[in-house]
Amino acid sequence: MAKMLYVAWHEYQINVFKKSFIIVLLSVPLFFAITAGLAILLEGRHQELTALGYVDQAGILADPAPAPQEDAKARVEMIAFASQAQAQAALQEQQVQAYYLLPPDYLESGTVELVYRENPGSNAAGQFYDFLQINLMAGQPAKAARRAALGSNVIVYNLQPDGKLVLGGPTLGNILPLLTGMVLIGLLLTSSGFMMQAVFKEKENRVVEVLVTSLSAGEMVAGKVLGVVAISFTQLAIWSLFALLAILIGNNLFDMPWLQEAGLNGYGILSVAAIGLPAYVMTSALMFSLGLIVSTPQEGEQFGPLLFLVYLTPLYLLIPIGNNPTHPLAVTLSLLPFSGMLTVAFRSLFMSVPLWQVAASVATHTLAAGLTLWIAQRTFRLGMLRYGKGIRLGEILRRRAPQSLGGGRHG
Amino acid sequence: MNASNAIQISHISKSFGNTQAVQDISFEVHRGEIFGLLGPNGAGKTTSIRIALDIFKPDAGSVAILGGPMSEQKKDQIGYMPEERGLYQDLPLERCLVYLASLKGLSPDQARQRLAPLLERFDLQVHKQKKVKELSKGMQQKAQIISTILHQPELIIIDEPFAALDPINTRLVKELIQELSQGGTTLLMSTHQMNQVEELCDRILLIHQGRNLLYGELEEIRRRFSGHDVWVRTPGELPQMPGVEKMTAHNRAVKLSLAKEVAPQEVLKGLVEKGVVLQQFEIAVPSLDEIFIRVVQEGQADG
Repeated sequence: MAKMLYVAWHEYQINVFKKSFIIVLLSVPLFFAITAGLAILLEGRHQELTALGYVDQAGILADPAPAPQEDAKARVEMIAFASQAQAQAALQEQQVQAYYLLPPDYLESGTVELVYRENPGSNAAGQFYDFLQINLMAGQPAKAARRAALGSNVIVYNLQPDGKLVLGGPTLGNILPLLTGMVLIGLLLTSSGFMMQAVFKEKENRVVEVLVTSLSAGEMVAGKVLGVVAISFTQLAIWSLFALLAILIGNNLFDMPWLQEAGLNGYGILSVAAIGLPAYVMTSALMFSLGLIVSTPQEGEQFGPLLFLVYLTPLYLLIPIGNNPTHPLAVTLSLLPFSGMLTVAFRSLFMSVPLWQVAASVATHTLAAGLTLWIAQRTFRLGMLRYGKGIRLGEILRRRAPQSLGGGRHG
Repeated sequence: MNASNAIQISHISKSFGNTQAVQDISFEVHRGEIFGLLGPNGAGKTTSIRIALDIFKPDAGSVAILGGPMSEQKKDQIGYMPEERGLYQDLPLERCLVYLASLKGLSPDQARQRLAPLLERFDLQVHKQKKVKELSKGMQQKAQIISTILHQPELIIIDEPFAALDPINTRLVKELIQELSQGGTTLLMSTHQMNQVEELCDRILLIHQGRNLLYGELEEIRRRFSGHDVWVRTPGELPQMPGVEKMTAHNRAVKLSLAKEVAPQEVLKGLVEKGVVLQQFEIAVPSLDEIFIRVVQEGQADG
């Protein structure tokens, strides 16, 4: 047990305290922060509060009601001009950032002309259309006109088989389990890929001979897999912290409604994480075996994308699963190793995946993890000193205790 | 199975595809002795060691190590140094050695404590924070030796311990091996450098093409192959002597090859009686190299 933990800790620290790991760890949230920051900055820069002009040749803004705008500071003044020439002159003198021309046949054609020197702020354009909307509704009760101008907030619910209603709209909270699943797959493939390369190196530089005379194949495989799982969950935990921080900042400092809707779908995330853990063990054990089988690291790297494609199987079936997340196909894919994690994550967008299905998926993934660990141990015995020579599946599955067959140098 | 043996190999054979790596090899390593496993490159030394350590299973024959079959518990009592490499190239030296020692049952603190004097002794203290790959080949070899002995094993198996070492470090390692042996540690040393073995080993097994060639006490083997040649140095000419089949000059000495039934004492007596002034009269003890060449050439395998 102690040796297995030493191996796990060794795997963990040689990766986690590496500069490249720390750079990757921080660069992902940094990338999102920079992207979000730039978006906010550009959006802010595009907020133009200079007045807007309009020329109403259609005669619908004779006695206009102001546009509905809750934040008085963000209000853009609307200035009426009797003629296009006056509006043009005002634009020339930069009294207005742009002007709109409503032609006489506006009500029939719906055509509005916009004239500007530089692209007007998106806020200004939005306010003009609200202004137009509310005044088109002149004569209607003020509340109805205002609502027509602002539009409706549509909240989507799904009726569950058990009669419950769950929120169905794609809020950030709903998307989080799917995001977690995608991130987990990315992490497990990269970190187990690193492990495969490390195992290959150990084989190449003969450390494996020292290891095999120091601890059992089981301790060795279990320690390495545990190390990889710990590495990935560290990454996930740190990224989750950054995500929470982003949500908090978005909630409190910026007016970002999509972040404000980020209520956690805790059950969905936990379901994905519960399936993710044995999936990790399974993939890491597979990659460990590959590291022993392949004759060059490049050969091993080819398996990474292949495995990624297998993991992404549910994405090819996105439409049928999305149309009917309780269909037997969706349920079957949820239970199968490889496809289970992402299918459950995707279904969590639309429904609360029944607990028995999550439990069954965890069970099948755990069984698969046990099997791949066993295969990894057998492969370790067979492949640790085999250079440039493949291993047949039959050799691994043979009942007799495996023997190293060498194939390299024999002194 | 004899409890006084640290290793007991009985009639092991192993082939890889069509290549017979070892065939019917048997030997014992007694507790506390330095045993030399000798042979040219490709003779089957490393395969025999790997079989002894349960890295390979033999196709035939049996292995007992420290009194029985290999077990997980016994792994902590064995130190194994594979030929070259065997260290994590990208790790700092100290971290690498502490980690490997922790896999042999030491706590990291214990390992660090034991490591400091060894690093000092092998002149590696100042390099302990360097990555292994930044060290010279000789330094890596010394580091590997430290890694093999750090957990103070009962049995040490070292494959080519003097590879990449300069004469000063070779001496350092020889002294260490002798110290360990005096402390009761059993050592199995595999090498093709026969001169090193002559200085260190109590008993040897010489293998060639995967088969036993010579096996037993080093002194006894040398005795067995000596006695037919004597070195003589004289300021004058050597007369013809009865019982001397051949005289070969080497620098200022002459090697007399005696007939099998003639004892060196008889030749000495004859020379004295003939009034030859002798500066040197010495029974020529053949080197292991010479013995090996003679055995291979004459096909005198004794199994």
